[in-house]
Amino acid sequence: MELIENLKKADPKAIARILTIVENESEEAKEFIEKISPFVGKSYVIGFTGPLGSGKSTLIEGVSLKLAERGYTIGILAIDPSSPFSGGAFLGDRIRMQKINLRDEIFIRSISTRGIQGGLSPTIGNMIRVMDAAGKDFVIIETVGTGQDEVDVAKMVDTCIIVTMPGLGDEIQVIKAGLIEIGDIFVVNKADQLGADMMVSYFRSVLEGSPNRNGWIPPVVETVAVKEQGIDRLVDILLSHKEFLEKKGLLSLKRRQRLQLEILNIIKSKLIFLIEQQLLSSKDFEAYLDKAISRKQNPYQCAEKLLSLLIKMLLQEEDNEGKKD
Amino acid sequence: MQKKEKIRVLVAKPGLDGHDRGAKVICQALRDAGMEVIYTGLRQTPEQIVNAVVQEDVDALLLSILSGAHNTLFPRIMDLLKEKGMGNILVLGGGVIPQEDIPQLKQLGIKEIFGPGTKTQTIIEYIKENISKT
Repeated sequence: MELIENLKKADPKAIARILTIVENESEEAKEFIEKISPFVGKSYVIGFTGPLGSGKSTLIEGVSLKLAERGYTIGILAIDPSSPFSGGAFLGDRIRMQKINLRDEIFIRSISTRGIQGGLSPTIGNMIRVMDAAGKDFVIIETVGTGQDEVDVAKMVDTCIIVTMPGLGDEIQVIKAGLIEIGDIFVVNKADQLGADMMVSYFRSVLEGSPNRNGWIPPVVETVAVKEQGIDRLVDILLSHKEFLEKKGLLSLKRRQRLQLEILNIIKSKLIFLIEQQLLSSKDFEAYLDKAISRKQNPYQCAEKLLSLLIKMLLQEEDNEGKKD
Repeated sequence: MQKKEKIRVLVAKPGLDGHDRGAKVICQALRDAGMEVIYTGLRQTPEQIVNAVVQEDVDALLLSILSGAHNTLFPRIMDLLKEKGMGNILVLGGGVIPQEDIPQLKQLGIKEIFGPGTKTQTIIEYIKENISKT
């Protein structure tokens, strides 16, 4: 396949085309993933997550530029939300990445969540794989603007960077579970604004008491991304976290987590598809619904029965797949 | 696997005009029509625009221009698209473009020019009918 040969040469058009194919999850996509899987596993994956407007895109621009200057190649996967009503999306992360748009070392791709919640895109694992096969040293993922508990990103990446800014609440917000537990590095961006010092000290005090992470104490970094302040320090810390994981032999654990999440997500999406497309429209579902309405059975009893029906459907599906092969 | 193809469109503002109200209205309308719309932001060079077209693998490129520099910038963009092997995507123009300039722009391969007052629905339908899904 010519496309795959070109992908391995990091040809931008081939990368872009294959990203589209895997994103669309066509039959072709399976074939491509099979073909590129043997070449992957070299890229280091970094995630940027945090509230909307905290400066994730601008920070990624700065960090990518510094990494490129240090001789690395970078693939950026910037995710924005899709509309739950139209399914369309407005993808605007590139607007904040003007300085790196024409760097040969950097490839930027805008991605829509395509209806999946949690801040990531359903096919993000495969899109990382494509960047990896294209030989990118670093793959950077920007999640949609997140709030409190969109934590899947931490399992997809090697280093998870939480971006926040002054004025987003007090210590109480920081103590709440969620993002605080998944960050390897915390960035207080817009640190020239009032309240930055307080934000930094909230984070430091909460992180001091947080559970042991194999000896890594998440640093808190102040940046002003639009003025390119603090970016060098952030890159240094990022590389030191990478070194830490490598030295401690923790990278393989991260990769295991990523694959676990990916496999789980594929199973979930297949199940949801089956539930929505077959179970929900089946006569049995209606029949049990009627029983529930007439109070002959309670919702739990109905669910149990329908669940066994779903399992039967699954086995049927598997049978059909087997015949195709 | 189920197929989840989406129409992907790049909306770009070439050159040095600083007004993008119109471009943003188009972006929103296309989003509401179920498309994935990537917006480049203001003051883009032809090189930046074509680079984004390649990386985003879009089906259509929409150029919005109000500065009057379309006769300089559009040909350069069309040349670069061909050079990068993206000559087959749908390219549309919009903004303030005099009637007498339209024939020569169409000769470059720009399929249609939509002036002020065009209904967004017209543009949506035009894109849906004219993109080549491979």
